[in-house]
Amino acid sequence: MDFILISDFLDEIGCCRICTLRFLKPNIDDFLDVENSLKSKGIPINQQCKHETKRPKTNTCVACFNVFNFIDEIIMKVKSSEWLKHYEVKRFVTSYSLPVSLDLAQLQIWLALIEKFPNMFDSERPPDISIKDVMKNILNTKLSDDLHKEFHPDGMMINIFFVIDNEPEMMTKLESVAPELMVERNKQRKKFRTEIVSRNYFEKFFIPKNIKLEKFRQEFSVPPQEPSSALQLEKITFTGPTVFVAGRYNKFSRALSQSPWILNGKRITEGSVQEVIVDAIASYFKVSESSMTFMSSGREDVDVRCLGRGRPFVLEIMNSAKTFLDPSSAVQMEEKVRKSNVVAIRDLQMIPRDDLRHIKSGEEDKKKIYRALCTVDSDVTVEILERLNIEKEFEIQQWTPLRVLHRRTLMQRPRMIYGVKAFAVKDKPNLIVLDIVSQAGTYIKELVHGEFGRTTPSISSLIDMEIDIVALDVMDIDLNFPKSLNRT
Amino acid sequence: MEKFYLNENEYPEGVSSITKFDTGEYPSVVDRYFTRFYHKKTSEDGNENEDHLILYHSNRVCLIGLAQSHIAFKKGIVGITYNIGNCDRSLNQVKGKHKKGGMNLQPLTTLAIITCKDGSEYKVLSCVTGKLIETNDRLKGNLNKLSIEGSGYVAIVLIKPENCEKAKSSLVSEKDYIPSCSF
Ligand SMILES: [Zn+2]
Repeated sequence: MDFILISDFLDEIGCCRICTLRFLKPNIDDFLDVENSLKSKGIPINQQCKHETKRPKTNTCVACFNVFNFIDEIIMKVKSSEWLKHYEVKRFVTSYSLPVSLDLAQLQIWLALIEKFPNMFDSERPPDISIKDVMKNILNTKLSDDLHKEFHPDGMMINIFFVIDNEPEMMTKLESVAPELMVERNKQRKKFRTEIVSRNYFEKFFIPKNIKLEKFRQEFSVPPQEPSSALQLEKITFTGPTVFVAGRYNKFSRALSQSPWILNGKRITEGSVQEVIVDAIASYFKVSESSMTFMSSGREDVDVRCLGRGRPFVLEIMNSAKTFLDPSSAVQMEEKVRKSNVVAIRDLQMIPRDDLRHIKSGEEDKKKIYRALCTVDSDVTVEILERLNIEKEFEIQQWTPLRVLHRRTLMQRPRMIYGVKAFAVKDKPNLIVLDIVSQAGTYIKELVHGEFGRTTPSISSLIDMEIDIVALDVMDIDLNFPKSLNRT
Repeated sequence: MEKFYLNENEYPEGVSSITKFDTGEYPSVVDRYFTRFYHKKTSEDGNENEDHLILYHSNRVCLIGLAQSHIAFKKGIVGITYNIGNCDRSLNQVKGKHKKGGMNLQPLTTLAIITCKDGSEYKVLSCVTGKLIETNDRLKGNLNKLSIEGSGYVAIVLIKPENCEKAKSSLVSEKDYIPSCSF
């Protein structure tokens, strides 16, 4: 590849030194010292050099619209931002919103390069290292030094927005140069009421392979002319990282739902486990309650308590200001939740995103231990109790319960019951307490009364008499996640 | 018996034992989830009670069966078939959340025919407009189940949301129900 010829051409059409280097197959690190990298590619520094690396604003680069001139301004603005104090994080990433005009300019140069150097540039593979990648490389290195933070994908995001005047006007011309490429886009636009073309759409479809040069030249010059409108740094925003906090919760009330129970805009029950927990945690991470998502390992009906070690849960916290949870703050949160008297949490800790799988997958492998309070019509006998002390595991077949049939598929599911223990209650002869160890996903109420024969065998069919369940507690969920902290 | 007594000391402080739950006025499974409706029907001569019982769940699932006063119980039931005019209802299959493929039913669609000791036959009707979800194959070997409220359902029918009010108003509520031929 003849770098000098290409470099001369790019220089002539009005590319800055950084952009010239972008088209000379560089490594990404070459941009940390542009002149030296150009030199090593055989481009002399004084080679009819009309243009400086940083051009004066009157002389705008046709490829990048002088976007690289903003680097110092960006660093200055980031460093002086109030948000840096808000986000107590040690890592950062940057994201860029650049006008589509820059993609158009790239296409114009690309077409010109193919015309001029037909054997050196491909019509599908981009001819350059993108502006975004170069910006990232330069800025991330500088910001990392200036902010004393590490560049890392899990960090807070610094979003840098550029805009340009007259862009929409220019974009309408795309329709006339490549109407066939706009068919799909116009469908999307009708649906989503979005901009004429997005960067993604442009980059995917507007490539030389899909463009008829003659037609394209009717609206756009190849190579491009000096831009008539200026690029502006519109704003810089910050987004905190997404973090995950896990724990286990107890629910002591039979009137409290796990998540807010709202039907047709009306609240059915007051409060919820989720709200109590979120309320105790949100302020530490400096987020609103709506940026937290509550997940748990299964759920039960409202009237079921959750005792014992409790149910594992995870909170996904978006735009978090912190990436750590110190033990004393965690204990404070646990104490605050306990004051609700209906919910308690324990083992509160940060977890990596990967650990979500413990909550999300393998639902059917988990064992759950329940305690059910049941009534029988006659007095409980030793014979009944003995029949219901079952150490050997057995399988049941359970049709989708009638109470959820309207929204779930009708099917018969096999479920394992790993053991049953039966207890009598002093002075209450018609009550039986059953401790049941079952495969997760078993409908316990139906397992007890049999639901008109739709669950078989059932506790009712095993003792061949009517038995009904009046109260149910989860005593344990056999999942060792998150790890026990033994804090209290 | 003592050795079976539950140890209630295992509960942590502030958490009440499950046995403290007030079981006083706890309604039965049918009463908890369903509302009773009746479809009144007499034989052509008007002398025999062929009333149906519809257990209506608030989620639009209905269990269709015979009312306790149905004449067939007095006569003694010896058979049931879902095979009506070469269309066997018990082969009905529904797929997915939307119950695709279920037979569409009108109130007068026959779900099953029961046979009594004296050879007389009685149709079990759908009573509501809806979709057939499930028949009850457990009845075949156990015909006395037919008289048990709930377990004796002949079919499960799902009513479309927009047809629920119409269905309920075409039936007789438990409060207003007087068995047919009870003069
Ligand atoms: Zn440039």
